[in-house]
Amino acid sequence: MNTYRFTTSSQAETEELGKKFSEYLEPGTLVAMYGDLGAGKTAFTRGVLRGLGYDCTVSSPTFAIVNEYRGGRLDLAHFDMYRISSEDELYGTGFYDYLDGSMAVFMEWSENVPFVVDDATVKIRIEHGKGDTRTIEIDFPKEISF
Amino acid sequence: MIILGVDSSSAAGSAAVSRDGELLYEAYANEGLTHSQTLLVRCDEAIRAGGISPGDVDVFAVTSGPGSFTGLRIGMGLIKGMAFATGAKCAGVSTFLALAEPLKDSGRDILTVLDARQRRAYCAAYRSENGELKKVMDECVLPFSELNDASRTAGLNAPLVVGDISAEASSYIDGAEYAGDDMRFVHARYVCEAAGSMAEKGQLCSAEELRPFYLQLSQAERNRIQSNREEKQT
Repeated sequence: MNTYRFTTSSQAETEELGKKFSEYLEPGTLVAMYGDLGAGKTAFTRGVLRGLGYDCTVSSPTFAIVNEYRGGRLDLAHFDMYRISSEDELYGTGFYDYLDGSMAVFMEWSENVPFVVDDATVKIRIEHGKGDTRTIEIDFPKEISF
Repeated sequence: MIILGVDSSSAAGSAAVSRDGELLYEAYANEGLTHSQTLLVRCDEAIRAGGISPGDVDVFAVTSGPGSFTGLRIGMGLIKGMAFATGAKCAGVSTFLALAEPLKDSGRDILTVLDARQRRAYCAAYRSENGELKKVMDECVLPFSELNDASRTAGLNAPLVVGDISAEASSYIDGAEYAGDDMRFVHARYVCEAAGSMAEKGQLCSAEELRPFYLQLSQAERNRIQSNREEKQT
């Protein structure tokens, strides 16, 4: 696993980073995101979706649990695990059916589902800095450059 | 007796029609989780090709789990809907039983294993005796590392291993035999066969009574796994 560290100074920059990151996504990639409320997990995911060719509204699926995006360069399922607290609950969302290798799967609030994260999972940690500054750390199984 | 059987418990999906134990038609595809678009079409195909009409079906049968959450709900919804419409009886066939059914004349012990994630298997075992399947291990969740002990405790002798993770699971069990690639997923004709046996035993139910058996770990099973781990560590 390679670790990459970035600093962004606005939401737009966080989105831009997500957009560049999207180039490395493949069907079956599972991405676990960590970070406090307002850290920029959704902004990063929005950037990823822009990079994949989706220009629709992107918001955090806090109540729907999952939003699906289909028809771009790659299909993507965007999960919000904020309200998930057990493996049984997660099973009841159909989560495991999304891991069939046909699409990329992004998870916000991965803190709540440590049991699905393994060595092959891409990890993204976003931390608040001063003002709009964010530190974004990406653990990626292979080499990336941007 | 005419039985329409469907399976959508995994990435594979199929529908079959049988009459008095004879298979009339089966449509099977392993093309990913597209059951919501394909399963009804397959049922229609099976009914037409079988030369019957939906009203002729005496028993609507479906794999009731364990399996894919979305897949099970699609199969259940479809079968319940058709049975409601015609008033015919339903059979909820355990995914384990449907997997073991093709081997009911084998005279062997059969261990059925399904992926419970994180190197765990959902399992049950059957013994084939006089053309019937007798359950010799109740449904449970086991880490791969405990499969061998469980197999021995259940008295399984050189079991044939079937189910989606059968290739890997069989390597953990002394004397076990991997039953082969075509025994990894359910085929609807065996849902029909199992439903036929259930009908003889009076195990059919109404559409209202039909319930899925989701692949979930009960708290008790989780605790047992945890305490076994702790015992081994001390």
